[in-house]
Amino acid sequence: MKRALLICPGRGSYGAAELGTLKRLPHRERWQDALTAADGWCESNGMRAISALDTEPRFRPSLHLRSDVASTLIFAHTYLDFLAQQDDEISPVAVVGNSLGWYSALAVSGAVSFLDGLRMVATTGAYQQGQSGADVARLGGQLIYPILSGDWAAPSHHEVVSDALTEANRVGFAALSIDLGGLCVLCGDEPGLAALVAHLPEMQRGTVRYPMVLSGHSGFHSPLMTEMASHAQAECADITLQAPQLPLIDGHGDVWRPIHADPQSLFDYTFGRQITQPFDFAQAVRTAVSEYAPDVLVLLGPGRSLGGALGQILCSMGWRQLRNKADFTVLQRSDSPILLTSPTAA
Amino acid sequence: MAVERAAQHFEGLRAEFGALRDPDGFVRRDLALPVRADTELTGRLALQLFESQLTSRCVDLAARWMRAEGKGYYTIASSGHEGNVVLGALAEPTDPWFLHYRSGAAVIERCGGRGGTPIFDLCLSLRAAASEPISGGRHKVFGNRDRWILPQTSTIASHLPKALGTAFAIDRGGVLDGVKLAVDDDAIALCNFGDASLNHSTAQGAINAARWARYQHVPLPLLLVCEDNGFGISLNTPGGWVEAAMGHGRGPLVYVAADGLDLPAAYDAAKRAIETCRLERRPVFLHLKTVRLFGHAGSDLEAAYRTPDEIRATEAQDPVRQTALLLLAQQVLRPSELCALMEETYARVFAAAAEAAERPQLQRAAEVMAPLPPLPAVKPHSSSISLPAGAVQEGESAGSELGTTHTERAYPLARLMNDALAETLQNQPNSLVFGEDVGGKGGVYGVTRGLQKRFGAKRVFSTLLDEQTILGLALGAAQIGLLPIPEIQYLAYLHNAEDQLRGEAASLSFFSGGQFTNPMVVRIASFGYQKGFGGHFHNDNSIAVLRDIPGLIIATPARGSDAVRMWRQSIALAQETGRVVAFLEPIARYHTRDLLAGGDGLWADVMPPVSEPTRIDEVGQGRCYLNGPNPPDAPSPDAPSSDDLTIVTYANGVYLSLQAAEILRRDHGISVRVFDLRWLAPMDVAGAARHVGETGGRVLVVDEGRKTGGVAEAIITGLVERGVVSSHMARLCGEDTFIPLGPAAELVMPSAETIVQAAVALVARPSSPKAVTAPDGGAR
Repeated sequence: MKRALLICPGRGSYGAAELGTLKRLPHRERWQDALTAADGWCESNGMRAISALDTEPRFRPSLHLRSDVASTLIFAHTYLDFLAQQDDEISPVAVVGNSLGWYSALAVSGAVSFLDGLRMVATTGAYQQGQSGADVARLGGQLIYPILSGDWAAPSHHEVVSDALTEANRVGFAALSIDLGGLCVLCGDEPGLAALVAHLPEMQRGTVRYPMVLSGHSGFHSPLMTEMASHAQAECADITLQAPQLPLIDGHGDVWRPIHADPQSLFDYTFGRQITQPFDFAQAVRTAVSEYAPDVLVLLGPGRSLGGALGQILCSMGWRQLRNKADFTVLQRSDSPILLTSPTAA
Repeated sequence: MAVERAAQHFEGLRAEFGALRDPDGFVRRDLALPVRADTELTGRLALQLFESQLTSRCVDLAARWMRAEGKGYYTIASSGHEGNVVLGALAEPTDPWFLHYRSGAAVIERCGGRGGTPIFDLCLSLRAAASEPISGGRHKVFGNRDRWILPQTSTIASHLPKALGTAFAIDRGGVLDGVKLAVDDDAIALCNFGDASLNHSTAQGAINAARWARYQHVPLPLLLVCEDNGFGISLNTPGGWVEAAMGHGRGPLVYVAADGLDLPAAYDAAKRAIETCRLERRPVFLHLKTVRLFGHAGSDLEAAYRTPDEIRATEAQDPVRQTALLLLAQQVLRPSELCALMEETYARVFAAAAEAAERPQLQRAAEVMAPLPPLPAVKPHSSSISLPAGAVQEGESAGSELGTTHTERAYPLARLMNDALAETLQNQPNSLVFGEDVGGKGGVYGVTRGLQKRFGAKRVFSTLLDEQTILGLALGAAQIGLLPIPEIQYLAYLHNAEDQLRGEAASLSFFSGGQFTNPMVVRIASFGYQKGFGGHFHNDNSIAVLRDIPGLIIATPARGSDAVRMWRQSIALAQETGRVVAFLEPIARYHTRDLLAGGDGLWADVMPPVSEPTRIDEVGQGRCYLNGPNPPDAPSPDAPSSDDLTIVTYANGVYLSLQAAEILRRDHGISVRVFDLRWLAPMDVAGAARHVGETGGRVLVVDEGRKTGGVAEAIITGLVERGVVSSHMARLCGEDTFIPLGPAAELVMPSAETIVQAAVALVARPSSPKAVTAPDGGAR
């Protein structure tokens, strides 16, 4: 029995390759009821059904990458993947989530019911899409930039990022949004984001050019989202959380433990600091790995785009003697890889 | 064996709880309520604390496993002491804390959350892994920068004096102008220790000083936590001893008893103790009853000194078991949940230990020594100076407008040091000057005269007569950002407290990979030659003990101008690089003005101007007197020399050697240069070697310290290692004796006459001055 750290991905994890995930997801008997319930909830709330979105003939960025659609789609897929993977081989010992994945982690750990969690992300997603009086332009945007050398062996570009942030804050607002370990996600309002793009040296890693602006994303995990936090908190005030059934590590490195975690504090975190302060995913993973020492990390679907970042974090920790990308590749190809990804991942 | 005993005991707990059935219709207690009617401890917090207790227990088991596998190096456990966990929750995040080696549960509670990784960090520590975050594998020590756990390695209560110092500094720092400490204004300092350690002189001295301070209403928010398990290795602490020694009615210390085996009771008592300490700013003694499970350490065979019944009776009091029973009885947990928690905690701790067990350790001596603060390399050429004739020095700026000295007049050492201290107090708002009689009296030699009046008693004050407390005060204050300038009234008094420098001050940077420092400049009135006054206690010349401390800087100025320059360098070293400096002032030179004849004023100096740059990179450089003390015709230092002999010396030896040099020049036609080492650590052997080389390898080392274990041994050895060898090398040292009272003192230490005799004899030796290689040192 392998002790597993479950990881719930965030926005951007459902791309073209993920279309049709549900067809590939095994053990339908474990998750069909949940899907049906989710579809029912979506439709009765004027939204597209999850199964409908996944079975669209083509992947349409204008649809699938919209904040409201992407949020419910990713959340639901993560939870369904979790149900599908319940087996005797893997024993979950803790859960972390990346950004939107925090809500998925709440659901996976049992702190919130699946449908209540769906409602949370539908609420925040809709706000980001401009509903409920939101001024989308003021919510800002995000970009992503590497802060690790190409071989994952050493930090890089920390100074240029720092300088770019300083410059951007002269003309607008910019800040660290998410620390992914080997990459940083920065956010800013319009002038701030533009200044970041102007000041960050261009570079290419593989086929990706950086800095890469994440289209459709708002300035998550910053004061730009303060109004959304209030809105979501009010809209979801009747949702009851419980102590999670699995330890849950959040974007501030705090551990929410079974039985005695305070549900009210968990709610306040979810709709407070979690939304308006930087989300330190790298620290969450480091804390979870160090303190729970899992045999494996299980990256739940959709997709597996967060896999590289997880490898980078493990290398920076020197976990299992991993020092660089080559070490990680060798380990992944061995009989006992440390990172397991969704069976649906292409 | 203790290894199996600990694991067996845990298995026993598993079996005991595994046999219990979940009650039908279990309804969990409202966790927001007290876990029991008689306590403030909520069910929620009780469960959280239990997790930390359980985790600590599992770390103890993992330590024994690692040791058995040959991958771990430490098995002293916290088992039985898990009641200290309550402090981890009750203390505030910036309360500085000096822990006991059995405080594991408190560490886990304090260091968890906000990204903390106490389990893995502890496992790395057991492994002595190079990546262990506090000491880099140099020691098994509890410490954490962010959580204000100040690492210290004491098993002999030697951390109590500095805990006192930190507590004192919290409040004192709060009232100094221009100072903002990194801890909260109402922070308290905590220190934990065992019942047997309570008997150490350090503990007793610190407690006495705490009482003394409180008696005079000096704010001292110090929480002394005695984790009393009734044992000191194999010796029982007499029953009731701690309470008899420290209990109610024993003076101004508040005494609070707490049953560390009962979590709610421990919580309530600790809460009271902390609140009293924090609100009333007074020392509190928290007597926490614990038990010691599984012996002193993994290697300890308890059966050798305890009966099986005694051991079993102790194990039955296991606080982890007691907390578990409480949580079951109060329906906070179901038995199945308890068992699952035990299983998972055990599994994750052992998994972390397995990962840590493979981490590499330090590989090379250079890596081990890296945190001994590096000093810029001493330059190969030390600058040579000529003594001023006692008149005005050209080109000085306004100079010491801060001081009491006139910028153009010459003063002896004591007066110039007084000015230098005033300058420091003025420029470094976080500096404090303290020691015996330094306040109102101005020091027994007047070196601190007027300072208290000028800078106030909050910054310049007299202490009680206890050097451990004086140094502990300095250590503790330095750790939270003050710059202490303690005075040791006489070198002889240092020795009863030297471990505060060796084991505590100098080792902090080493055992914390440079993350923690306790910068300070310790002034020590040193050496003999007080014309028979004072005997042994006032003429001590024992400095080997200081030279044996890795990383300690030792300054030994011989005269006022050097003293001021070296003082400024020492303060800069402390303030800017976190170093600990011992500043040895030669008492016999405090008020000396003249060198060769009454009224010549050759040993009085003008205050070096403040505009002069202070060069930290020149610390450790000596200085050479060419052609005696009268310089108007002094050749440039680079001119070829025709000196017959180099005298290498320091402190009083410089003064006496210059007197001797004059006699040698005048009466014997022997020209001598006198090389003043000025610093004993680092020592300018390279500079000495250069001059000795220029005098054909002819050298006389004049060492007022004793022959055995003295500075002269190091100089001669250093010259030989550098190949600067001749058949004209000699030492003139103090005899291997204690210093007697009266004129007899002069018989056992170098004097100008004996220096002259030694130099004449040395120069008169028949052999060639060239380097020889014969092992017996004979002439070739």
